[in-house]
Amino acid sequence: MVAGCVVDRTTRRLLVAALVLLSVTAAYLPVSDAWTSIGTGCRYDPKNDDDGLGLGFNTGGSLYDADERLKVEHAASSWNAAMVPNFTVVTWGSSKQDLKVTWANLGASIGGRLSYTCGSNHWTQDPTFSFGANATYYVASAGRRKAIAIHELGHSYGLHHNSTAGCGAGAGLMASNAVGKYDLCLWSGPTADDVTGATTRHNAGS
Amino acid sequence: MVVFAVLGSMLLLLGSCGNSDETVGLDLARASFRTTGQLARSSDAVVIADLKGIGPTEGDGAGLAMTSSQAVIVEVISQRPDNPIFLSEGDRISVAVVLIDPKFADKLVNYDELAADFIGVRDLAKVQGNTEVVLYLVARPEVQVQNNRIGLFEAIAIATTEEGEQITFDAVPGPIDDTTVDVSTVVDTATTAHDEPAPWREDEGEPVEIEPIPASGSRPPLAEDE
Repeated sequence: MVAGCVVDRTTRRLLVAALVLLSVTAAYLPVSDAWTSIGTGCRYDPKNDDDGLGLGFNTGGSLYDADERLKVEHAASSWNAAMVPNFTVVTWGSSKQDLKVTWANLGASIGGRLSYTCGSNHWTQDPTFSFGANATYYVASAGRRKAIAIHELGHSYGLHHNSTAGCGAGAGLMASNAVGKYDLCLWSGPTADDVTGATTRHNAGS
Repeated sequence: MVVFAVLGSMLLLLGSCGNSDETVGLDLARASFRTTGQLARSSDAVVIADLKGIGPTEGDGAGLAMTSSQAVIVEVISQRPDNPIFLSEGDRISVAVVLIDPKFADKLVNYDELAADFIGVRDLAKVQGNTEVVLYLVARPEVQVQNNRIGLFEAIAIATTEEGEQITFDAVPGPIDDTTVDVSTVVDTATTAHDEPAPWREDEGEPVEIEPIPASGSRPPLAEDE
């Protein structure tokens, strides 16, 4: 407390009452959206979305995994069922490609990696989603793989991580540990908060 | 809600003021280990080894790096029956650890977040003073290592030994990091998990049962173009 700060009894009571009122109000307020944004330029080019959001799969590499590709398509369908614009599958490297999906040796503890570069108002290049080809932790769990894909597609919309605990309102697969969140909540698609965030980011304008 | 929106807008405005430079980001879907059982099930072998320091890091140019060192096996606690590089006491092996590339520290907007919950150089620094460590290993026979007759293993967890038959995990992604457990727990969970062949090396067998792609109302389903 600052030595020279003198507060009379009435003012102190008013302050306490205001604090109590604020606390009670906060407790009964509906849970606000918990999604967060990566940054201003981390999203698709809004001028180039009328042809859908093109997923290009690198099917030619030695590490290609058809089952994981299917998981990405299912993840994309989950997003498609909830919002627009829709993901579509396009030829690897085509002009309609907006997200590159490939496979890489990332080590036993990494299921996937998304790398991206943000420009002034949209991606400067297609984000790249690499599935971990030699992960051991994710084996035998189709749900985990799909959760990873839902999470990375969410990043490609421009969403950052969601720190809401538990499985209630405001929580989502955009949690930093998407696999752990899936294990806890068993979500098979993006949650309401994930969709609200992605829609808001996508419609944000330049 | 309105107040938060206004504050958020102000922060966005502040964040965007005078900053039109490109930023680079990286996201990892990484394991988050909570128990010794999870570590054991994700590994080929658990050993006590004499670790010969931590070597320099080599980046892959996309945010991850690998550091490797030599290790001599002091004791094999357990290993899977199908471990492709079967280990014995006295074997000299190369041990690699995948970590966040410190060279990306200045480039990645979210480097600190990544380093906070995945293995960073500072985690390995804690291990350097302890030559005898417990390693959870995954065999990487496909990786060729110079001057090594056995091959490369990836360490998914490193723990230092403590007095009183306990170990402390020092380089592990997940909540088990920095925790101390009894050696007997490590031995019990490892020997149980390593009774079985590695599930990630099993034959594909029957196709995985996958639910059909759900319809998306009036919106077009996913389809190949071109």
